Amino acid sequence: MALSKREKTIGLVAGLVLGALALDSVVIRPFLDSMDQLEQDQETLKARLSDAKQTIAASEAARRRWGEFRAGSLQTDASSTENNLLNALRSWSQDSRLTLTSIRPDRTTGNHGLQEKNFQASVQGPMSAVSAFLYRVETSNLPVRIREMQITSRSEGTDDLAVQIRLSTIWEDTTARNAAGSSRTQ
Amino acid sequence: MVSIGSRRLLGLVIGHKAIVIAELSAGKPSRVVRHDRYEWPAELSLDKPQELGKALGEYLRSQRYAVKQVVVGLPGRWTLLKARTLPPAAASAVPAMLRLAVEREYHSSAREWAFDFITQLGQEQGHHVLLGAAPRSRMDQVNQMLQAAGLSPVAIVPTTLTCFSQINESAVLMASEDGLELAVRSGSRVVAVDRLVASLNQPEALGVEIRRVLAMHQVAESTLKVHDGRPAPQTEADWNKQLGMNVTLLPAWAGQGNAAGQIASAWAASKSQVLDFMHSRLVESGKRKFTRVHLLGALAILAILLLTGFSAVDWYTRWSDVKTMRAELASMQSQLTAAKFNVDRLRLARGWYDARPHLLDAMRAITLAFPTNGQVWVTNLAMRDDMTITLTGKAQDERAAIDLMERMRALPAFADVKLQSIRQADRNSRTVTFSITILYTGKD
Repeated sequence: MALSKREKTIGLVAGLVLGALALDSVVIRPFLDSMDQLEQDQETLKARLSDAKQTIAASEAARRRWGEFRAGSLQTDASSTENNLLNALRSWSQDSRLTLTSIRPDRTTGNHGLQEKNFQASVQGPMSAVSAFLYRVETSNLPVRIREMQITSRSEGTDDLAVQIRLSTIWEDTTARNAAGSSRTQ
Repeated sequence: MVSIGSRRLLGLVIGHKAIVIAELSAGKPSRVVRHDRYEWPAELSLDKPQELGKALGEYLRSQRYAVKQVVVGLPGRWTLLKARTLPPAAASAVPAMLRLAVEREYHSSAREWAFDFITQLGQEQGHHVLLGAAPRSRMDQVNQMLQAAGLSPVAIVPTTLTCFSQINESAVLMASEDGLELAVRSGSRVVAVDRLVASLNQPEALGVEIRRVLAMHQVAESTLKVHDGRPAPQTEADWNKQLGMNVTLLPAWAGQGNAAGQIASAWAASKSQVLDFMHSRLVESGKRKFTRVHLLGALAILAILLLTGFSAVDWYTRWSDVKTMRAELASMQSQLTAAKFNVDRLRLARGWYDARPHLLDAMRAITLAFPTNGQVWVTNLAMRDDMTITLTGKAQDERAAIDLMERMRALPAFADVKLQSIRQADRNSRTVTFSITILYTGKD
């Protein structure tokens, strides 16, 4: 059957359109999707790589600082740490002219290679003594921080305060340190 | 060359002051369905092809000619025809041989002419060809005229030769509005189509000229036939009397209507046996194949290839980049785990050293926020290391407690200042007890 020129043209155009659609669905669209995916992967990986490099760089500084902690007051056992803190508390209350009425050890927790020990302490004295005591705690070389503090007036209208403090101290958990060291050498 | 298959076709023969028109039916063999004659106004001529074309187009539309493809017949006064015999050679070598011959004979003026040839059968060895030429300036005029008329030429042919090829006689005197032409055949080959100088008004000179041409081609006078294609043809007796010889008058146009019908039929029946100045067989095939369409196609393919290549390179670069980064991250993984451990551990431990909560600073800020007139005083202060503070106290009146809270809200050192409770301390005084929660920001 001989086709007319118009029929041939219509056939050619229809073929081209179908071919273009097939090309679009089989080649072009998957290719563009793949390009988009690659672009997203590139951005994500760039960000992750940058973060990783920054973390590794920060790790060097962290290791140096950790060395300073160790050389200073950071202990690797519970008893030395507790003794140091109890002695310091007595010394600070004495120096601040506060009356240390009680010290009671509390729970111990561990995280990121550190062990934390809490203490409940009760002191009494005037406002200036409380301030001096807090100053000593906040500027101490020992690893100590105040978790909670409650100041109550013992009798209204007088400078006589009762202070409840929950303190905590830390020491290095050598088990975790060894684990971290071994993972670094892997 | 355009293949029209079984489509309708228009024949146009350009004359001195008119264009003869014929429409061919679809189908094979095609036949003339109607014919016509367009005599253009006196102010128009082929020297004004645009204007003439517009006038022709309007005429065709007025006559409801819908066919756009046309075979155009050029008048004998515009065309040159020459029979040649070439030495024996392969058929494929004939165009090259003719090109050389044309360049040799026409020198620099060869570019001003459009040439074509057809091969004729002969008894002698070698190739017998009929070479035709038409001035390119006339071809351009014709093309401009057709374009202005909205027509599309499929072939431009010499009218007299094409008509004569349809008549199986040795010698025919072709009479038309444009004058007299004598076409002569030797055996089956056309050997001459000569335009006669003498007119019908010069019978003696005309007879002498006809006899000279016939004698030159060794054709007997008795075989001469007359084809009178004029609008008002003479009778056979008139021709005999006028020429002074016994001639036979052929039926006009052999049922094809007019010259236009005859050339269009001849072209539709056998394109290879019709000279076509529009599709010259002398043009080198390599040059003919590379048209503008091919150029555009090649550019499109080049653009697609460049785009594809660029996209592929871009994709590969990205893929390679991703692969490299993944490998780098994988190689850093153990180092990264240890680094994270160190950083997290230090961040945590700093809370017991240089990043301790500054409770003393918070107490100072609270003290400074209190009025010095003794209207408000604290009875209990609870602080946590996340710097949330609960302040319980008393005030002389409710206004003083509210003022304290408003003052704290105005200070940048505190945020999220909320009154938890406020109530009268006892029934006998305006003293109130209140409780406020604060977040210490550390800002001055």
